[in-house]
Amino acid sequence: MNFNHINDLLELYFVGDSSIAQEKELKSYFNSDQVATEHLQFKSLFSYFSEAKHISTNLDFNEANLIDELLEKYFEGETEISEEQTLKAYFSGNNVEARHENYSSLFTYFTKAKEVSFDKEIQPEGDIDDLLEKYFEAQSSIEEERKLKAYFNSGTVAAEHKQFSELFEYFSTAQAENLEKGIELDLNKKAKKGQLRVLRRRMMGVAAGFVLLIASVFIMKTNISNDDQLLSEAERIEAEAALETTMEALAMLGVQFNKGTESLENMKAFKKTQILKQ
Amino acid sequence: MYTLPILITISINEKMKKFNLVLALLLGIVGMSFGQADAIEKYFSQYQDDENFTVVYISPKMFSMVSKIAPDDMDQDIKEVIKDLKGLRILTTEYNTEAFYKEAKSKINTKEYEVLMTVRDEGTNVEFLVKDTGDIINELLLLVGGDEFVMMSFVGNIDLNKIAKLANSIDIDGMEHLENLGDKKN
Repeated sequence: MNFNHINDLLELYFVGDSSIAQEKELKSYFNSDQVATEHLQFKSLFSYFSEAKHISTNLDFNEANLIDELLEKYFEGETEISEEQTLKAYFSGNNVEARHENYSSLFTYFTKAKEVSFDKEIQPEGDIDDLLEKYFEAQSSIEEERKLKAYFNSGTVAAEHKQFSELFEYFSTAQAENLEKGIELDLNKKAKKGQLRVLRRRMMGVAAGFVLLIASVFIMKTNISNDDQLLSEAERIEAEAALETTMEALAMLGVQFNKGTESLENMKAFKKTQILKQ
Repeated sequence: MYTLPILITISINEKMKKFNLVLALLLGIVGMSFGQADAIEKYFSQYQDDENFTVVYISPKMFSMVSKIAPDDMDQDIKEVIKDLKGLRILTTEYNTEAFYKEAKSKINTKEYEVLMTVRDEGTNVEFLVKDTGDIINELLLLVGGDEFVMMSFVGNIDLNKIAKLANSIDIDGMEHLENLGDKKN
């Protein structure tokens, strides 16, 4: 096999125009040890095919007529799912019998159909739009809202839905806010502390008032007894007048006092005589 | 003059009703320490403006000055007494002497003032009263009714022993001095 010939075969293969015989040729080429370096990238591809064929060949050798039986069952609508899967694997393989080839397109359609439904699950954009509509009309159930939340929380938000992502993120953070309720207890403590402070201030005010009172009393008292200054002339004259008056007053006091004591003196003398008598 | 700081402290504590009560008590105590009104001040202030009466008042401050200018050679007994005096009030008249004497006697509260001595001699009634807190005599009150009505109030630390000494020293020239007093008043 020469290099250019293989290239031609590969070209035909990749546009889907190669015959089975040509594909067989490619397969044997890749299974050999003489694969060119440029063709090495395709080696794993054709090795896969030999394996796949290997599986199907098992089927062929052991149950050659099984396919005919299965086909018959299938067209009577009496096949089980596992039997239909066997048929599908057979038809997706490369070793379809000639007489079965007109059915191959039927079974490949089923494969494709299954693939289509698979696609739908990956990108359910239509569903999201319906859910969003329901949500904004306040007619979405909690389950539907959860779906929306999961959708927005995932990393794959469609471009036209990105404007709403912040909204649904807000809801998740709003839910998280409930944790902060615990702080209220601390606020109560702080309020109590605050009240204590107010009380203390009042006490301080009262204490200050008392100190002021005592201080004023002290000052007044010291003021009265503080007199070390020399007297002026006028004060002198006044003081002398006062002295005179005081002396006169005391004199009268003394005189009256003596009147009283005089009688006592008489009593003393009386007592003495009494004692003497006895 | 003393009430101003007290009023200030009251206004500060206005909010505390409880403390107002305590404050009032404190003020009462403080007020008591400041100048006790003597008998004449209390009972006979009405006569202080009466022209028939001779009214004399010597304040504590005046007494402090007096003790300063008192000559060293004066009678020591008198000096001793003056030293402890804080106030002197004299109320005297020659009208209705008996009536005033009786009124004075009745007005004076016997709980506050204790009668020390009573002398009646030749139509003249004399009564000595003292007001004391514990052992210290704060006020000596002299009431005379006869030819003239005299009411004298001595306020201060009064020691009766000193007064007795004083009286003794006067005794010698006593009667002469009394006559002099009478002349001056006439």
